Amino acid sequence: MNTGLISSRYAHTLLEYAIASGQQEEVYTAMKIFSELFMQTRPLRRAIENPSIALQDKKKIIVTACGNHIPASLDKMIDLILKNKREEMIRNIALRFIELYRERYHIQYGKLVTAVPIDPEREKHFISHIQKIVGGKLEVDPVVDPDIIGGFILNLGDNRWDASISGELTRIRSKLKGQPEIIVINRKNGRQYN
Amino acid sequence: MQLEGIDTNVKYNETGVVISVSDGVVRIFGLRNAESNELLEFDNGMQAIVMNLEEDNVGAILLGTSSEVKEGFIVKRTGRVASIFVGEGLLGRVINPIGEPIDGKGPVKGERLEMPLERKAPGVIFRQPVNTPLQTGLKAVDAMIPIGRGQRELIIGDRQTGKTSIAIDTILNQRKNFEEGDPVYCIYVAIGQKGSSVASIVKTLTEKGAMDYTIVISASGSDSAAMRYIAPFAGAAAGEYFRDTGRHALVVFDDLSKQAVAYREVSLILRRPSGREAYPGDIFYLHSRLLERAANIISQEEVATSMNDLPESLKGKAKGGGSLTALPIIETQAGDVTAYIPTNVISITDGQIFLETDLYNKGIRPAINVGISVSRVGGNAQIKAMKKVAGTLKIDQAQYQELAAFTKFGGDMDLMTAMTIDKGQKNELLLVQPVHHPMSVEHQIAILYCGTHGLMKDIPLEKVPEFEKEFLSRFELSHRDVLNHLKEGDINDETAKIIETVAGDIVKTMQA
Repeated sequence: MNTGLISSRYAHTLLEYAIASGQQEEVYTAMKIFSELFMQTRPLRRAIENPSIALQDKKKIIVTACGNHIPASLDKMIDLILKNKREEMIRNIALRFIELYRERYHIQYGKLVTAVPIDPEREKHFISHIQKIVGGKLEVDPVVDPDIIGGFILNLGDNRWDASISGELTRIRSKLKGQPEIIVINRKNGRQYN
Repeated sequence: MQLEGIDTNVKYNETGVVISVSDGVVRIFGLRNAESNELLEFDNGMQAIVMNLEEDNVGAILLGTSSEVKEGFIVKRTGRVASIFVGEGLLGRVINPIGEPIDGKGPVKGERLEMPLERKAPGVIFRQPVNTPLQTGLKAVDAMIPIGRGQRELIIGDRQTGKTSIAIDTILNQRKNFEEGDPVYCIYVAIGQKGSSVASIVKTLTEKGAMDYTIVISASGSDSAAMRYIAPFAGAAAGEYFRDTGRHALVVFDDLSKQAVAYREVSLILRRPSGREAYPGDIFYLHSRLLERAANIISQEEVATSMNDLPESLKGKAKGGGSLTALPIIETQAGDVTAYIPTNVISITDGQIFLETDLYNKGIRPAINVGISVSRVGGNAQIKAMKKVAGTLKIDQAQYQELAAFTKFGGDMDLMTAMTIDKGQKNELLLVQPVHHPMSVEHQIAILYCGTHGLMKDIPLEKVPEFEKEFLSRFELSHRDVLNHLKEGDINDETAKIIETVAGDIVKTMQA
């Protein structure tokens, strides 16, 4: 079963329907909240996948997870998903929807991971610098993770720039262990990174 | 100083996020450029292999325990296909399918080359027909079902019929080649076996001095399904290292039925459509692409060096004239060779050695059913003397078994039938061989000459083993030159006369 195809079709439909209803931004926000919560809350995942929970109850759970106030287009889509017994894929649908929305509106999304919180001025400067390079709209969420020790990690879409101390230590460790370097070739420009 | 040359610049990676983990399989969101069979790496060092490329996610199999990976983990591409590092340093070692030693003897030493687990088999022009024998040291196999270098010969049978023993004996028999400086490197791949079984096999190989030229790859029953699935590919990759550097190798897959089960497990978790017996549709291709990698490479250097899909690491090192022989093992249930996986593998391989529980229980070991065991290409590789001596043995034994079935009903027999049965019984006993005692080819030819030419007709049946022992020891003591001739494949009237004289003398003493 090609699960990727199924979730993609639902996500495409939802995006087109939301745009036609003029509710795309509200749906995008709800989907972001839902996917984030889904990742963090194990009981939510279990409840949605549990076949013994009634569909109405599942809907209530999903609506609550989306932030209680959901636009009509999303409400109808949730009904359709539950009716077709595709609730297991709702998370994938949400993720795919977010991806499609960002593609459609040229939004670059990223996470800036630092070991200690950085001051807003520096963050702004950093983001504007990246924006100049990537173009389009840029959404960057700052994340503090002391495990990276120092430096920063920038995740932008599927790409990651690792300038952290922990990353450097990992590379030194693998080099000393004799493991081969990671080579990534960018298909679009044929450039090789390592 | 060790830190010299380490690049500490900002590193760029393509990443994805784990969205689900289930029984050794992860689904990853992102990684749009990931390729099939690519190796992925998690931040904690855990690795995975890409199996499914779907529209919005990537399905990968974990090369470790699922508990070490959680949802939300970042996973990055490595730009390398799943591979194993192979070198001479692996000989004598026990490793897991990703090349990590598991025998507690420390890290693997020496230069190692990266060999991809999945690789296209050599094309038609890079091969040559099977022409050199691979001596198993088993009279029954070398005489009736000969195996050639580069052949794929299936060993099939129920549990406890001696399948592994045939493979192990074949490995042990390569000791002589190793000592003579023309080694056949052996790779024993244990798939889904008990740790204790693997340990006992390694012990046997070590005691008999076979570990000097053997690599053991083990994915035991407690390893993940992914490990059990890739283990034979790791074995084939290791074998290819020797094959493509102009040397000879033998790989034993013990057993492919367990690999098929592991692949079914992985495929079902990946939600691939299932077919007969719930195996995925590409189960035939799984085994055919694996076994096609066994080949006898053309000796012409200039052709061999331009072989298709030669890994980057082997460029400039490739040589012609190498071979990779495969001995896949399949376990049947209650002798049913018509089940899905057995029929698949039978049709892929160049012949099969069929082992039977009844024969095993009767004491006929190796318990080979001569009637349905075949070697489709090995005959061309058999040495001349063996072909001459044992050419009719297989058909004679098959005829004897048919006649023996009739005599069970009792009644009188004509002289010819009685003689055929007597000869058949004696030959059957002559082919019995104790486990882990491979016999050299010259000894095999000499003793089989006695069997096929009816030289034991005047001794009682129970004295056959004694005759064999006496005959071989006498021959070894006083006719070493004749044995050397036989080894070279040369048998003439003079040699035959000496064999007949020695046999005649022993028969006389036994009659007295």
